[in-house]
Amino acid sequence: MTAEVTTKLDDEAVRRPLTPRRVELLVGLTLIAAVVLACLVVPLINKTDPNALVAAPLQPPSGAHPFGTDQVGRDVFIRVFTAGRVDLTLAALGVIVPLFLGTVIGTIVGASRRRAVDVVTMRLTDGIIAFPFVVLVLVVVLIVGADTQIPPLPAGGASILVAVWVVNWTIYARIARARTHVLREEDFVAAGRLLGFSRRRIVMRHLLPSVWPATATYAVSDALLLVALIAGLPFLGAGIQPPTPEWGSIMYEGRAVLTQAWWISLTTAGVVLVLGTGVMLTVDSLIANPRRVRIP
Amino acid sequence: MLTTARVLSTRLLQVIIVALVVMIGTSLLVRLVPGDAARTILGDKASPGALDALRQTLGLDRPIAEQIFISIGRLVQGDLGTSFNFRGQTVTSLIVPALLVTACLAALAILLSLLVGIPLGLGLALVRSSGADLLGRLSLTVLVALPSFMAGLILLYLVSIRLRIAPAGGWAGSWPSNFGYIWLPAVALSLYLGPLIARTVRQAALETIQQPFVEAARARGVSRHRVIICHVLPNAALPVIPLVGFNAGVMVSGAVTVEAIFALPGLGAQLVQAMGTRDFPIVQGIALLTAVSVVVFNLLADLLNLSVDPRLRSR
Amino acid sequence: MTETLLHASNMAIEIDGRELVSNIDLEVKKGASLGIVGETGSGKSLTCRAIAGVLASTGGRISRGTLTISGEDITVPSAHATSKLYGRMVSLVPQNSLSALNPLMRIGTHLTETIKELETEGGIDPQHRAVELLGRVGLRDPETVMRQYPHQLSGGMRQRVMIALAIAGRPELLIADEPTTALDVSVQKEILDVLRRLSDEENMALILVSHDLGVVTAATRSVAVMYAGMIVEQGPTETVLQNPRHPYTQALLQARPTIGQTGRLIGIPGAPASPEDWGTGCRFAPRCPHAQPECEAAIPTPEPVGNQQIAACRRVHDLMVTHPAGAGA
Repeated sequence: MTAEVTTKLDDEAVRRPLTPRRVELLVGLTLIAAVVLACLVVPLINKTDPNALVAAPLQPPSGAHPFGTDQVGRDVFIRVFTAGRVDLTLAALGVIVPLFLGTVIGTIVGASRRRAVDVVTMRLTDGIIAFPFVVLVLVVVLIVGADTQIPPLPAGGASILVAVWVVNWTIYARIARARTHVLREEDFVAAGRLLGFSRRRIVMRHLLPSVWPATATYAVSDALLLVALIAGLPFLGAGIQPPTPEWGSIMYEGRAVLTQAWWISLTTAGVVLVLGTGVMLTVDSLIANPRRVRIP
Repeated sequence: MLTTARVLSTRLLQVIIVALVVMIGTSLLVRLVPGDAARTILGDKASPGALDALRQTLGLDRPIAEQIFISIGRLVQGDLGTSFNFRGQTVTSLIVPALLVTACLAALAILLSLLVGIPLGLGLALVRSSGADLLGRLSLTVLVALPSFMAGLILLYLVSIRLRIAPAGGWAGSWPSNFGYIWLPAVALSLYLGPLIARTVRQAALETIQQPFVEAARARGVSRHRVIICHVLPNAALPVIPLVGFNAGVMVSGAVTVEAIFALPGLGAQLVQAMGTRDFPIVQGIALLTAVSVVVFNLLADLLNLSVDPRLRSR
Repeated sequence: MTETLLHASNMAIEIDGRELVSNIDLEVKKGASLGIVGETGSGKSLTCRAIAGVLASTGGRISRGTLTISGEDITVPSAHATSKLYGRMVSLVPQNSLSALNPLMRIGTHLTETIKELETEGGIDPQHRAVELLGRVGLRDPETVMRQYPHQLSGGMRQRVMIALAIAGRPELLIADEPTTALDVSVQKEILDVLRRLSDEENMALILVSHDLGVVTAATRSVAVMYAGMIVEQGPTETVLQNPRHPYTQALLQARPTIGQTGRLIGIPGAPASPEDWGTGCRFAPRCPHAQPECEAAIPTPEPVGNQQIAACRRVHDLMVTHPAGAGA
């Protein structure tokens, strides 16, 4: 599960005041915050039951129903933001575990001077990274059962998480390893060794803190990829099972009536797009942007 | 230093690892699931006969080591098992035609992405107005943030339904009429990879322009035009090769979902049907096939990289 | 009376609004050789980039004064391109030879593309000419080198290639930016020999930029010493080195270690100031042993001190001490 992977972070960006990069960061974070807050707040304020029939089916967006109604008469607006909670929570869970696992493993492997360890891990992670993720998730979902419910996760959520955890840590390990390779040549590591710090201490207290920014940055864009993955599953016959609303299943149901009622799928898509743009802007603002110069 | 032999052996090893991971993974997983795996897969309404058949296919009646051994043996012979739903038909015979469709879709998408992405990235790096560059960059960012299947939905609505210049999904069954059905899904897919390529090329081009050899070429009299095409472009486009290789898996995932939206008879359709009928061999077979395809694709990317970048080859 | 080829008058260079090079007055006649000496940050690289017409890559531009070559005004960034000066009138041998060559392109292609671009008379086979050029710079097996890629050559060979590329269009002025840095001493000498020989054979003016006084002494007839973006002393090389009049030049010469020297190594106290810390007066004043309060008030004007030597120091006439020039000048 990868998009672009770059570990070139720009530390200067954080210090200066209102540069374009800062603006980009702020806008990105604002967009993310907007969607996350909406998902938290809207269902609290608007007490409509996302699964209740509240109006005539297939009503276009209106004052009473900002996102219209779906084919059975449910309010799409409340469904979208209730669904958001599910998607966001799953994405967060799906990222946190691989992030920790992968970063630690990758740092340890990267710090190890034993070639065998490095080669074996690299081959293994390379093999796993190659996987087309969606298909893998489907295999797991099929075996573990699409309706399996492990509370408090929604039905189908457990299998998705299992598949994600098993596969996704590898990319973090890779990033961590690459970063560690660069860091271990730095003077402060040599200094630590000379001062007699144990290997373990150097890894935990000296290397890991410098590795986190690289993997954490990737984690943000990974969360987005995860949302995209989860939302895509219903189209392939898996995913979070109804009646739990989920962005993907809303869009899937909306696909059938796309001609008459574009708002079901497309308003949901809009919300996901706002979130996605926010994520990309945030990640972009943290990564080094080369100077623009002219060719003479 | 790389040689063709080393690249081949690395990727071959990767194919083996990938296949092993799938086989071992599924064998382990079916045994780790609490309760009766066959029942979990087929559901409560399955007939005892079906359950028995599945148990046999999954090798639940054998010890795991033996099971893995047998599946690997079958795999080496190209036997991916028999479909559950379509009695008697091998998995291979069912999914290979679908694979070809998906491959066409992916190939077309990659082609489009390269044709548009590379010049666009270069253009953004060279454009004088930093405002235009900013606008371009933001547009690319939004597009990269858009998941492929959502791009598919949006395009389906705008182009097929509203503008009516493409069919709303379906298939012709024969080339070249199939192009009419495949171009829009390909565009949907390339709306992710194309901007990704453009961003990478833009970044690489900006870095390349600052390289001494660019100003050195100008200083000795090489025309600006030639400097851009023969010096900047090749160096800026070089990272695209590993980028596409890296994203092969993402592309497959996207292709499969987009196919489901546009009702193309590719692996996506096979997956939907197999998931619906709990046809385990098909799902596993597709997982295996796509994973191996991604590795093979990466192999091709590696070979291309090797042939294009002389620094990787010598000494 | 040989004609003036290059003339810089009160030239200043700025990058992103910050003036990094100021008050440059230089004159190079046809066939002459000038050395520009200075530490890192002295502005010598920017100056030679301005002359070569490639300031744009650094984001810089000439902000004040004028720069002319053979009477043509090249102060404007597009001047070199418009007047077709690149490679034909002025050419540059860049600093780092490895990164100054396209890693994906063979040496032969580098040469033939330049030749094709610059060739005015038809009928010359680019391949042939390329091999010939490689031979002229002293490469022993030109045909093989033609087929090779930059990373396959040694530093010395690459530097010769850079020179070959620079002279392909028979320029009147060749600028060599640190041509010997990162090379072994033996190879350094060979490269300098090549440059000198070509300069003589083609009656080509040569500007040699270096932080190494020895290099400049060996290959140039006049020298300009730069510090903090300004020229502090100029004149015939031998004169300046035997009898340096600017405190910075004196300190530079004194700092050179020599074989047989047993006393302490004399360095220059302090460190070169970065542009933010440049005051309104003499930029060397903070480190100058002869500085007075008035020195920091205004930038000293260049004072002639006899025999075509100029020094930009307020006190140059007071300090008429015959300084034992650093041994080995």
